[in-house]
Amino acid sequence: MIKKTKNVAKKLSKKTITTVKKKVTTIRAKSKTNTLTFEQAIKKNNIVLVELPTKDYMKQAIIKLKTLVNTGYTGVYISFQRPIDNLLKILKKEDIDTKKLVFVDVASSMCGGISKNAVQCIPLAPNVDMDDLIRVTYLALDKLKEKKRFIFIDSLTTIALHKPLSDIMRYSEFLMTTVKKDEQQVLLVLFVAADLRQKRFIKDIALRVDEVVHV
Amino acid sequence: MKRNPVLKKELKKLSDADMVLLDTDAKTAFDTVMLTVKSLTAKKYFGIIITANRPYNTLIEAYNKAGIDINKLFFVDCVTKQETPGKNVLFIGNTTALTNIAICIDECLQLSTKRFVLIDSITTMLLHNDAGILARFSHNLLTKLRMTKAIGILVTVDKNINKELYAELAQLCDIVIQI
Repeated sequence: MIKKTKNVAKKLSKKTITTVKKKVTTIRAKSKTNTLTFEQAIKKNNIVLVELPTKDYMKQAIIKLKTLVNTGYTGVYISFQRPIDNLLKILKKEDIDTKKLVFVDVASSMCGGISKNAVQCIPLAPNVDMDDLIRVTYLALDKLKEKKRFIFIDSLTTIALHKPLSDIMRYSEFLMTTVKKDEQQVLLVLFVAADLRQKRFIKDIALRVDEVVHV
Repeated sequence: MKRNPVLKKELKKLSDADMVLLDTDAKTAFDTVMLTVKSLTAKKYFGIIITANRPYNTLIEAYNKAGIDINKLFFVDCVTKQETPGKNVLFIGNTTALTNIAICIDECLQLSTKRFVLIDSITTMLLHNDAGILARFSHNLLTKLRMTKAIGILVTVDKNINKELYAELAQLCDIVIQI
């Protein structure tokens, strides 16, 4: 009797394993066929998470920014990675029209500094808190008068170095509701390094965006 | 000190405010760091070396042997515990004193207008610091260096020790050189 039960249990577990395996392969296959390019994703969706290769992260992020600006968007660039002067130098080198952008220099603020020499940069106090950042993002978006607008977050994981996860989730929640609430066309583009996508909070955010693009 | 054409080529391209992640292995790390220092001092850069691997005295000997002009260098020694500072050295004696190291770097950045900061190495600092705290320290440092238009070089010896930290640093740097 015990032997019989054991055999049945074995057969059942084998069956379950094979069904689960089949399901996983179909999900994987589907996700592969559903992979969109960045250009396709921004046409169809409001909130896009872009996974960039770690080695040439900034280069790829700038290419995406150029695509947005060249397709008639104006936007808010929220810079967590680098200070405004350095960013402007790169944008100038890449021939990106900075007049179409409003900058929020969070990197300098988080490192205890104040951003200077930038006309289109909303100043932040040193060591900005999340409430201030939410307020400034809202103000920056309001500055743009065009219909096609975007919010560009250059690195989600860099915020996590300085702020608790609860703050990041609150900020992303604010961004997502702002984008969805707005009657006009606002696009939210979030960037993350591919090697850091396994972080739990990134997985949580990935679940709530419209599309995840792998570069 | 062996020549390395890849490194030489990459270092030639460097300009002010560039941040570099120098990914080496244990065998070649010391030579690679020396080559980097030699190349940048030859380009008239003033170097600030944060040493977590070897004490100041050992470094001075090796650099002198390699023909590096030590007058163009300032050392922040995180290994040696000594209270009196030397001519071109400050002793911190503790790799976990990240705030002290940051203050030292701030002071040293005022010594010249054309300078580079080299951390030798992030991997050693990781032995004594939490990866998250070290990543935050690195981001603060890189931002400060970008704001002051200095070159930053972070040396890692084995990227597999902490893949998340490596990925974080790689995305923050402008150039990743793998030796």
